[in-house]
Amino acid sequence: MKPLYRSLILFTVLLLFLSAKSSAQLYLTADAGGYYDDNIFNNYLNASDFINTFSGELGYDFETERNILEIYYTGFFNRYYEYANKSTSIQKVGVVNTYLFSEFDNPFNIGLNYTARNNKEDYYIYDFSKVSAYANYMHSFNENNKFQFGLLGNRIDYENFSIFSNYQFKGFLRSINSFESKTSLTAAIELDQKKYIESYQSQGLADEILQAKIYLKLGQGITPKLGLSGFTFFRKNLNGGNRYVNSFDYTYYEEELFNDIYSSDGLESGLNFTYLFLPNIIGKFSGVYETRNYTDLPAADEEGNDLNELRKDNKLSLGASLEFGLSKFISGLYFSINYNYIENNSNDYFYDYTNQILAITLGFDF
Amino acid sequence: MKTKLTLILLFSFGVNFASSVQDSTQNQIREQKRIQKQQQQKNQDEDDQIKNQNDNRTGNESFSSEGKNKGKDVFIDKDGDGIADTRAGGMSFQKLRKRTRHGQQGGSGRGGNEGSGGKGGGK
Repeated sequence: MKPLYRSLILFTVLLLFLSAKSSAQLYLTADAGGYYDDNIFNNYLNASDFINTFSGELGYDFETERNILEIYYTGFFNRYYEYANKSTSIQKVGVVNTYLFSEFDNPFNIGLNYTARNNKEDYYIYDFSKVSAYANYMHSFNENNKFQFGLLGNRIDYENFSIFSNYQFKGFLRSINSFESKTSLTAAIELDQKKYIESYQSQGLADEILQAKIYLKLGQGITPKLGLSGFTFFRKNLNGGNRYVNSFDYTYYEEELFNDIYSSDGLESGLNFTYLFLPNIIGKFSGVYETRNYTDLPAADEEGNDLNELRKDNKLSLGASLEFGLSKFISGLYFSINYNYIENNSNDYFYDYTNQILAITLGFDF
Repeated sequence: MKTKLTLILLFSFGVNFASSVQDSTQNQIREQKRIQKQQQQKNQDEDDQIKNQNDNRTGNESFSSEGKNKGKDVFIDKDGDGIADTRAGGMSFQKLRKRTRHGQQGGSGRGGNEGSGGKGGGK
C-alpha cells in the first residue's frame, strides 16, 4: 500500500475517532467598520484620516466532556485613505487547550500562538512577529469566589530593529469575588520581565526591565438596568530603562517607535457606566485618567533636543458607545457607534494633543 | 481502493457534521460559556493581561446584549493589537521626529535603520 493511502486511512480513522469521542464545532466572528480619526498619530501634528477596518476570527473546537482543544486564526486589516501606506494587516494563528477540572468550571488553559504584523512601505519599520506561550488556571471555591494564576512567555522580533527584539516573562495572580449586594471585586498583581535578545551588557546598556502591576476593579449593579464599575491600575518599574538607536545624527527611542509599555510607570483610574436601554440596546460611558512617568525618556524641545527633565504625560480619555443587537434580523448581528475624546497633556510639546474618534461597526458572531 | 477511501472519507465527514449540528443545538448554552472562557484566556497574552479586558460586566451579571461582542471596549483599538488604547506612534520613518540625545557627539549611525543602541536618558 502506498504511503499516501496509508496516510489517508490513518487520517480517516482519526476523524472517525474524533467523531465518536468528541464534538467538533466551527465558529466564525467578523467585524467591519469605519472610523474618522482627527489625530491618527496621537501627536501635536493632528493628522486626520478615515479608516476602514475588518477583523475576523475563524476557529475550530474539538470538545469532549471535560476538554476543549481549539485551533484558531484571527486577522485584522485596516485601510487608510489619506495615508494609504499606513494600512496594516495583523495575522494570528494559535492553539489553546482548556481542561475543566469540574463539570463546568476550574479551567486549566495552555496555549501557543504566533502573530505577525505587516506594514507597507514607509511603515515597514513597525513589522514584527511574536510567539506567545502561556498557561493559567482558575479555581472556583464556590460560585462567588474565584482565584486565578498564570504564566506567560513572549518572544517579539522586530525585523528592522533587532536591537529591540525581546523576551517577556509574566506571572500573575487574580481573585474575583462577587457578593449578594451585586458587588464584584477583582484584585490582581502581576510581575513582568522584559529581556532583550541582544545583550549589550559590556557597553553599559539596559538588558532587562522589571515591572510590577497592581489592579483593582469594583463593580456594582445599581438597578437591573444600570451598572457601575471603577478601576485603578498601578504600574511601577522596578529596574531597567529603554533603548534607542542612532541613525546618522538622530536618535530614535524605543518608546517613540513601539509604544513600549515598559518605558513608563504610573497610575490609571477609571469609571464605567453601562445602561441597558432595551434587551438589545446597550449603552456605555467610560472616563479614564492616567498619569505616565517615563523612567528613562527625556522630554524634548521643538528642535528635538533633549530637555533636562523626563517626559511626563497626564491623559484624560472619555468614551461613549451604543450597541444594537440585531439578532431579530440575522442571528449574531450587531451594530455599534463609538465616540472617543482624548486629551493628553505632556511636558514634551510633541505629545501635547487632543484626539477625537467617531466609529461605526457592523459585526457578526456566528 | 480510491472509491472506498472516498466513501469512508465522506462518511467520516458526515458523522462529524451530524454530531456537530446535534451538539450545537443541545449544548448551545454550555458551549457559549466555554467558548467565552476560552476566548478570554486567548487574549491574556496582551500587555495588560491582569486587566482582563474582555470582562465588560459591571457587577450585574444579568447584563448582556444580543450579538455577544463582549470583547469590545468603549475605546477604539486603533492598531488592532487587541488593546483598546490611546497610544501615540506609527509615523513613517521619514516623518518621525528628529531628535538628538542630550550630550550626543554627532551620529554613530551605520547609515541604515539601525545604529548603536543604548540606555536612554537616565533618572
